[in-house]
Amino acid sequence: MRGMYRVGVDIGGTFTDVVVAGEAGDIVRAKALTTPDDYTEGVTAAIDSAATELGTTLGELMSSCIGFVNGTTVVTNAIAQQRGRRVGLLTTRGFKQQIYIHRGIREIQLDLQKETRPPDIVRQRHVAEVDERVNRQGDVLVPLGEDDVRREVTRLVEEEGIEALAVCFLWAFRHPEHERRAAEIVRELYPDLFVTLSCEIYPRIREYERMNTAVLNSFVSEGAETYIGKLTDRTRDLGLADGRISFMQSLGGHISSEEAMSEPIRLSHSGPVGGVVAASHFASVLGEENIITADLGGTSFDTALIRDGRPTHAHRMTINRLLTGLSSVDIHAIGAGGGSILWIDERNLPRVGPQSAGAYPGPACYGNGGREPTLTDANLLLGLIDPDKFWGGTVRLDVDAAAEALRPVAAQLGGSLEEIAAGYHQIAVTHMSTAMAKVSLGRGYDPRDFTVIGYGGGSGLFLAEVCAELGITRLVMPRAAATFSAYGLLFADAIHAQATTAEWGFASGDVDDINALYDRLQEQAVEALRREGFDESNTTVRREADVKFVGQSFEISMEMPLAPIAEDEREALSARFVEEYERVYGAGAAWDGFPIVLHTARVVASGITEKPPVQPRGGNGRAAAVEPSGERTIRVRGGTVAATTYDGPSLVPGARITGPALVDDVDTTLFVPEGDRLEIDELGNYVFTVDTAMPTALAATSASGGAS
Amino acid sequence: MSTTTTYDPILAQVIARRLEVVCEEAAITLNRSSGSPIVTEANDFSTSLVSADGDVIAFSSYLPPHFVSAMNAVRNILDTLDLSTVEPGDHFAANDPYTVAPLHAADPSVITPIFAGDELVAWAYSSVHVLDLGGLTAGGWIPGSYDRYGEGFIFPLIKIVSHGEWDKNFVDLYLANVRMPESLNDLRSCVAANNTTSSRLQEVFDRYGADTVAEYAAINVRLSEEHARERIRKLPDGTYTATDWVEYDGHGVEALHRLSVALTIRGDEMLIDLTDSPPEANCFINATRAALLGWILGDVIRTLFPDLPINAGVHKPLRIVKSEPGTMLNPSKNAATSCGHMESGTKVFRAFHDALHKAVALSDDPEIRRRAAGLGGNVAPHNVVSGVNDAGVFEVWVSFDSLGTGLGAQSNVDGRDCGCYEDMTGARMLDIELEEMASTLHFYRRLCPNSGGHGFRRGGMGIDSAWQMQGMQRAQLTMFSNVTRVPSRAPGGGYPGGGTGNRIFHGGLGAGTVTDVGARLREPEFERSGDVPPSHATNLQIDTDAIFRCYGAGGSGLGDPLFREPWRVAEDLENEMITADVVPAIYGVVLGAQGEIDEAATVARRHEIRTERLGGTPPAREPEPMTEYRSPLRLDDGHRTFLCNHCGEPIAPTSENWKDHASTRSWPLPERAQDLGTKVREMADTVMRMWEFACPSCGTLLEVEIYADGEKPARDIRLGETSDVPGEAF
Repeated sequence: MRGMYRVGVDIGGTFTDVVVAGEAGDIVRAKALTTPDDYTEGVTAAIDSAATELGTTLGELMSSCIGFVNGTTVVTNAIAQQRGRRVGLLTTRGFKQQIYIHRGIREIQLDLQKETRPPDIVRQRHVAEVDERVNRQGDVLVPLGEDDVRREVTRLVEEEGIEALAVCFLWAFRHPEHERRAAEIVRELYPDLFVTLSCEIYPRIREYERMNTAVLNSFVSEGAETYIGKLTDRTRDLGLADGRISFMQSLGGHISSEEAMSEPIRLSHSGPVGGVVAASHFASVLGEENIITADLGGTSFDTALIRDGRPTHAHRMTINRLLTGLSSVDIHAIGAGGGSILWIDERNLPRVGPQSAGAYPGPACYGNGGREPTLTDANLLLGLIDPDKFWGGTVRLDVDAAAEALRPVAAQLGGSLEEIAAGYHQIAVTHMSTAMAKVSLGRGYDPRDFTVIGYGGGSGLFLAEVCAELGITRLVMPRAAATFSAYGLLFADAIHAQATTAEWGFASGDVDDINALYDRLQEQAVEALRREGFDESNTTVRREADVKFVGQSFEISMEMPLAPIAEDEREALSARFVEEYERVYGAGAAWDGFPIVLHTARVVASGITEKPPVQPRGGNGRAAAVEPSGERTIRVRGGTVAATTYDGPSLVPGARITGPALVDDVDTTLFVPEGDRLEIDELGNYVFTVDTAMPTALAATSASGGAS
Repeated sequence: MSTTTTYDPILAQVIARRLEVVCEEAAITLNRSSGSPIVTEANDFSTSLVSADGDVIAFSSYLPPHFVSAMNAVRNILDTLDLSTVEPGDHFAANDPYTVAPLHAADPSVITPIFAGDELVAWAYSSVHVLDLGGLTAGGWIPGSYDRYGEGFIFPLIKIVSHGEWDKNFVDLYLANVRMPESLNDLRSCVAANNTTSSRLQEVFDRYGADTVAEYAAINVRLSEEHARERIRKLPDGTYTATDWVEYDGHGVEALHRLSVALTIRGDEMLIDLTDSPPEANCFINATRAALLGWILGDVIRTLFPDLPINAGVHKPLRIVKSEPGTMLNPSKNAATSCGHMESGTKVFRAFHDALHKAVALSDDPEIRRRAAGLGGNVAPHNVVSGVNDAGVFEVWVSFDSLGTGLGAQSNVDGRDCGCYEDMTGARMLDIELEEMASTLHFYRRLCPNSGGHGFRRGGMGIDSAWQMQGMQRAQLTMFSNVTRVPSRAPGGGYPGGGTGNRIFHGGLGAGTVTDVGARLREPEFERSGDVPPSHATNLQIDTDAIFRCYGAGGSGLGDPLFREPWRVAEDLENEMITADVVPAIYGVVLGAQGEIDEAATVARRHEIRTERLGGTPPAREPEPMTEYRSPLRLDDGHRTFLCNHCGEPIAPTSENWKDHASTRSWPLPERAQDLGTKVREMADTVMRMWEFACPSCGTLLEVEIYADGEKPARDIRLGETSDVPGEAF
């Protein structure tokens, strides 16, 4: 196979996954061990093996590669493990303890022993005050003390040995000149010192968030410089053309390596975003607009909402307990996965997670010495997993070890092993449906209007039941659901967002002001794409606004027209906001008669990349013959049933199965409960039709389950 | 398990979690739809789910004292309302302190019936602090009022919304009584929150059936009660007492009102005796029942069972003995109570915490002993500014730097800085830029050095900041600052933290830029200058050139500071948490010229301090080193003798006051506060004394207490002595 390739690289904690798409949409996957000392080693090895599978060479593949998108946890890990550069901070005189006080933000803990300080990314002795002050109008009350800047930066570098700098002055988003002048002075003194300005990384009100964002950006700059820089150099050496490499950001699109180098914090928490991006694209292929994604891995369950084909975004993210100005695809994560530990709390009630047995020793049934029972052990005892077919039969699971691990909790709760395993399975289903309710119902959307796209290795055993809990009838699980996140990198666009605090009154603001502001933001965002080689033909722009009633602290995001706002549009805009507000908070909740203000203006410019086509697997739409591979006795809540088993790879488009059934695919197993149907669509996806009729027997059977 | 009825533990867990999530979602709705920083930043609100018969079955964990408000509100409804007239889409509200009985009148209750089919099966409840209820001044706390009629708008139970439509008469009446119409928006947010509770609960009913949900909610209440009782049983039977003082100077006379709390542990029950109350006061410091019970419940939950789901089960083991009618802790209906929860209420809570921790320290169970904790400042000294700004708009600004008061030290960690009331689990101060969205300019903001009580684990720090009006020529300021003269109590052998306070520099500090003035204010010479306004003042007229400086109180430390690891002391000094003088004087740590720790000199200095505590006699025993916190005292096997838990030597028979046998020193409070570097306001006519009790054998500090001049340390631990008084349920 020859032609234009697209490559997605996902560097995980253990494995580096590579997905290569050819021009025709044919996909090849490869894996290598992640090499933390020099990530480029693992990346090169994985691509090399993909090249081999494609029947080409590494050099050929790279030189005919038109998009090389990287997802990485390098930045996320630097923050989580608190391993980053020694950062110095320059701030307004009188306010050096702001970063130490952390606004006194509480953790919402009734147990004050858990009410601890957030981590200090910058030490107090590395914070220096500089004379300067600006007021809320942006007027200079005290000019910048340039000698202070010289003296303090010299001291921080020479005596304290700082390795990167952040600058955050009060009201710098209104008057950025002081920060910019400080940066010039620093550049004269130490041209190689990495500097982040708060007015550039997050030009918005709330200095604590600006400060954290700037400090974190400088903190992660080393890992990013070495990783991004090295990878960029290495791929160039291997033949990749300039400008082809890009990096996935938490916002859902990718940015160039130059930008990733100067604002590496944008890569933080981009890990699970690939899957959501893939699901968005997938949704459009399926002709669906409203999707809930569900990704169940070993330690966590991640879920997100896609509406009108676009993922929703969360702004002002909290990272490692620090409030920041970062925006991200809004993914809700809970600590429930295959490795989640099953335990009993002090009230003698069963609990699932959030502690996980991790990859090693992993669940007891892996036979690596894990002794605590996990969800995977419970599923094995319920017969949902075939011990001989796990990961395509490469791992043989130890049923006795699983039983041994679960026995103590079963004894304490007073039930048979199977009863208790079924109970824990049910609790996990509740956790997941609660999380999915949070991203849908919690934001005013009825989950029954959505299709669930499920992926990640563990999803297949739970999602049909989770959907039933929420009344969702349609569930789609793509083939190769287990590597869906890396696959998603191939569908990501380049994204640049520019936002600023506007404080524009819907009724009172000057329309020329707001139009000029949006034009400026748009020019900045589009210019950034232009530098990456996008032009008008492949650039799309959205104008968004975060809006609230005057006096409120939280805003609701709404889309704004691309055309300039006209005088006579004010009322219509207000009405749209009130409508959206009451959709979220219920009738009667709107603040009758209160003015509405556009708090933040945002422009999101996307550089649309060409997507690999999705290849049909053939089939003629007619029901295809289906051959069961056997039968397994499984325990479900309320009793034991015989489930027909099928070999996943043997199912061709058009195949139809009714539950109770189990489908053993290479890297996952799907559980089709009684009453549900499963079909293979023409793209080879598993499509469930979930029976949402009330399981009326549940309350009755559970009451008789009994413990004393 | 002691439960005898058969139930499904899986379903119990599923339904418990579902109901908790319902309350959490309602709390998110309230928070995000609110416009009041007291909701969005301080999280001064709560949401609850209450059963048809009035048991709280789920609760958001923002403000445990509101639990009692929820309980009271539904009780009032059940007592007074013809339930056959209640229909879906109705919402009720009230703030009357004596009928529906919320925490205080400025936290109105909003109550919404929930139906399953035609049957009324539960109530959604929410409560939020509204920033104006009329009365003498905005804010909802009225320090200048003499009775309830000066405190603003009081309304008994009213149906505010019928079938989703607001009652126009109520809206008109409410708006006619308040100066800030946005205050009504907070009730709208409560309606939105209760709508969320109602619709989310409907989904749980759809899934499991309303009957099953009710049955399992009751099972969860029973489980919480059983476990609450089990924990209480781990405390030694006996009666434990502690004292505190309510401060008030708002009517021109400076006064301290003494109260005490007697806590009896009898088996698996707690009896809380509040009969030792001051007389009713002619100001807003009188506490209603809800205020008292709310704080006590919060402290019990935090100390003994923060892990249990909060529902009616947690208060069932608690009984209360009220004081006489017409006293500060059981006021008559005309009494002013708008700040009762923050004034006498918090002082009852502080005394209760101290009494409870005497029992905690002597428990046989190491897990219970590990729950030892100092006391937070538990105060938010608000400054409420109102006036017409330069744009001609009437503006009310509450400085949320007042939330910057420290939490008490915990056995495993220093108290959280600026954590506000311990019960306000979601409190947070504002960014300076948000503070300055009001007509103000801030000179600096920092932690007030030495404000956190010294100890093995240090108390949380309070804030120190200064501001001036900007863009407003004249304004009026209402302030109340209620931990100025008597700082936090300090169970466990650490020191109390500093107090709150305000200083006013009329006419400013002369020439200089805003940053220069800010730097000068932080110099030691300005620490004690400026005017000291009353700690309770209403509508002080202020000018644009006046500078206001505010201190937040700190939490108390835990354990003798001589046990604190020297590296932590050095780090606290580097971070400006403490000043250089207290390093050798209080912590007994000696640092070299470069700030490095001189180990040998530190050992010698600590020995020297213990010698000073024993009146110059070197200690006969050395205390065991302390790497994990341990209680100051323990009991011998027969519970006949108090032993020093640091050196093991006997101190006193348990039949006597152990403090009579300790090595004791005392100072006038302001004098000792100066040694500690903490801020305490001196009084014109009254002298309080700080007492320190050390082990006579090893010289380790066992307890620090404050008494009125002439008062003797009381016998506050009476093991085995329990009262037969039945007491009232909560």
